[in-house]
Amino acid sequence: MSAIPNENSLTGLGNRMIRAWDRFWFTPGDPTILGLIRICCGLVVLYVHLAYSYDLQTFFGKDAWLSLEQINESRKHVPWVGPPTGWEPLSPIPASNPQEQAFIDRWTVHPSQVMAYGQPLWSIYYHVTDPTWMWVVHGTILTIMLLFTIGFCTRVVSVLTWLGLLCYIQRAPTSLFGMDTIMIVVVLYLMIGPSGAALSVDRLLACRRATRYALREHLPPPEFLHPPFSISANVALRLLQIHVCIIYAASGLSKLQGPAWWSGVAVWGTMANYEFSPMPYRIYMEFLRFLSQHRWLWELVMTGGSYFTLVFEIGFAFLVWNRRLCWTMLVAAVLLHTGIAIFMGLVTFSLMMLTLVLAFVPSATVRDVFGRLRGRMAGPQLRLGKA
Amino acid sequence: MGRVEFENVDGRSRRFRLCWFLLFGGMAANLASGVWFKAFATPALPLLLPGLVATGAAVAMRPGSAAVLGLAAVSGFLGWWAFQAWDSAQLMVGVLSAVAGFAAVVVLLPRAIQRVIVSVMIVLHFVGILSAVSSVPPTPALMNWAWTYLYRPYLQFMYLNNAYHFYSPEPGPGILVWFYVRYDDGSTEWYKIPDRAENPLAQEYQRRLSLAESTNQLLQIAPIPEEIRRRRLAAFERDGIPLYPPTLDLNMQRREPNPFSKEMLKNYARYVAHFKARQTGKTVSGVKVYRVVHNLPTPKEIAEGIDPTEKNFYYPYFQGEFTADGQLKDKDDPYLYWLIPIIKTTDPKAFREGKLPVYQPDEGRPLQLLDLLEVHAELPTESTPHVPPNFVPGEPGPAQRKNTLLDPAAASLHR
Repeated sequence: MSAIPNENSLTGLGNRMIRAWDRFWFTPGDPTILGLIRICCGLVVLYVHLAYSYDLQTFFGKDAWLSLEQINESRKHVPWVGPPTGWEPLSPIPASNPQEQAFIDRWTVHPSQVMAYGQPLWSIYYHVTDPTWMWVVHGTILTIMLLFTIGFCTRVVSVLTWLGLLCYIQRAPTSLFGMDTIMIVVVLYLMIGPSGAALSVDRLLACRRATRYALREHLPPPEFLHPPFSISANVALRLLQIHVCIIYAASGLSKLQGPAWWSGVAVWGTMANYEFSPMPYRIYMEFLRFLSQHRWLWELVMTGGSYFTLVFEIGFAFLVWNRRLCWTMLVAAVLLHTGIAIFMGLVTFSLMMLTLVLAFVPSATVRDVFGRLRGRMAGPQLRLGKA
Repeated sequence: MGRVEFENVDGRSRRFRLCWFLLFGGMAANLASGVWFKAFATPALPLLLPGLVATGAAVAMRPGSAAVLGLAAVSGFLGWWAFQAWDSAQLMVGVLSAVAGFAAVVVLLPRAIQRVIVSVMIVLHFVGILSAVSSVPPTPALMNWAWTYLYRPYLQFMYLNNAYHFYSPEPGPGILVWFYVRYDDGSTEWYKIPDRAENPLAQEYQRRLSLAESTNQLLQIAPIPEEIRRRRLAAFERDGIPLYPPTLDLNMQRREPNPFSKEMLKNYARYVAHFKARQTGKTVSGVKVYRVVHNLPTPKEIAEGIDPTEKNFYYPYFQGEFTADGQLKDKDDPYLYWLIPIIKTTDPKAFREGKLPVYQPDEGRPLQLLDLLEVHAELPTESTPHVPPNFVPGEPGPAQRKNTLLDPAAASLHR
């Protein structure tokens, strides 16, 4: 007679953990929210890369801010020295010949201490440097991004969009900021999941084909309640969710190292930073002046803002999974990123973060909203509404 | 359910035929590209790129088919072979082909094994992300090893190498880079990044802000070597550009960038020289570069109505003068990496002589802006200044003996 493992025993606990893991990752999921994330992300991606049109040669040409020669040297020849795995620290090794000395002069490390050279990077702009052809490539990538946004041939164009993003990111790494970091994360996971299965031209075409087929075969017209659930949709959503939790936790916990966050004045460092904030605008300066002339108010806003940021960023990873608190955390995310967009001028970064946070919005809610919108806009043929 | 209807109307046999057509067409194109490359030593892009896209499209149509995935991997490796002239493209195609080959094996396995493999991949992926997150000092040794020896290529390739330490440990001041361009005909001009007027689009502006920030990776604060300090004080004797007042610690007045930022400075100086030469049609004889820290105003200053763009809020650190090709003209320049004072004082003349006029608001003497950056920018870059013979290293030099600026108690400047 086989013994049934006690739920409280180690075996029982292990089994429960495995079941929970399986349920968490491998339950078929609704791709509707992925479709919404794709649209939001695609719009930002398209805008960001359209903006590059002004700067194509400036950032990606042969004689760009970061020259082709420099980036090629960086990706092919930069030596990597590993940290010691024993107790002895790395100590300088003197050169024994002129070649070694030249190497040490260039890289400040002895060749025998190098574990690897270069970086495995990809960009078409390492190879295409003729201005005309660069425009052709840029135009093609923009077209791909547009197709990704509307969800046409999404499976293929999502991969091409990711490859396209890397072309810009890896060619001009010193001109990047947080928005680029988040953008590549979102596109990576949208590429893994069926992000074109909902709210896309792909879906529309498939529905049209189905309707035509039914009419041709004299079958009852099909009802499209919602796109097919899939495990890959759920995996992609979970990847997005875990990643956004890591981002907030890392951001929040690292702030604990800074005295300004503890003393509650850190927010002033963002609000009064002329390079980021809207300080050139008179109305904003008047607002700062008003705030500064009222010490109590100033302290309330700064301390409140600093502690709100800390509590939100550190707490997000723990609280957002709770059904009751999920919406509170999402509203807090909207507040935080609206503040970042207004006071720090990082609009595209905030939009990308909010797009990432969308991964926690239930698909049913999105379908409900879109269903109502469709109802108002009188599109009777395809019902994407309630399940 | 939608799924059923889709399966009915997919035109499975048509899609099936199209999938194989694309796959074999892609393979043929990639093979032909490889042969072309062997024959003519140039990549046959009009064949190769459609070949790779067709292969990808075939996989997108039947992602669960081991045969399609396996043949796509073969097609990809043909593309890899044909891409020999473009090393980074070869890398990318190689990685995608390897992924297809791996997937071809995985789809043949039982579902439970597939889930185990996917689970292991997820865990490995997120451990990698955590190794990047914890790669900023203080770093745990285990994570440091994991990042360096295991994850570095993966994270760099995917651009997932960010630590997400946004505004940590705390928000810092804005960093700008100012270039002072000198032309052969003796004319000069300033070029500054970022500049809202020149880059009104927020995206362009932010990109330039990031460029400026890349010059701000500095070596750790350490006591300034005596020889460097001696040269700087001798230069003060010669040019009348004293040290910054002792409100700022002396060791903070010279901040040397790390090798990465030095490389970036060379690049940027070269870019500006070429850009300005194209724009003006003149020959650039040199570019002086300043890394400028735009200090934050205090709430008190804002309350008093002080303009945060007044010049004394800017701390310019001289990064050297570069040739039009981005070579540092004089690595022994006495001002190299030193802060050039822009201050407000009641007596600019006395300040330039090394005295620190005490600010007493009751006297009614107004504070005047003293912009020594403009003075410094005009200086020629030449050899190290003459050092007076009575200078004793380690002891206060002649400049210091009459320079009350080294006395913190004398700090009386507005900023």
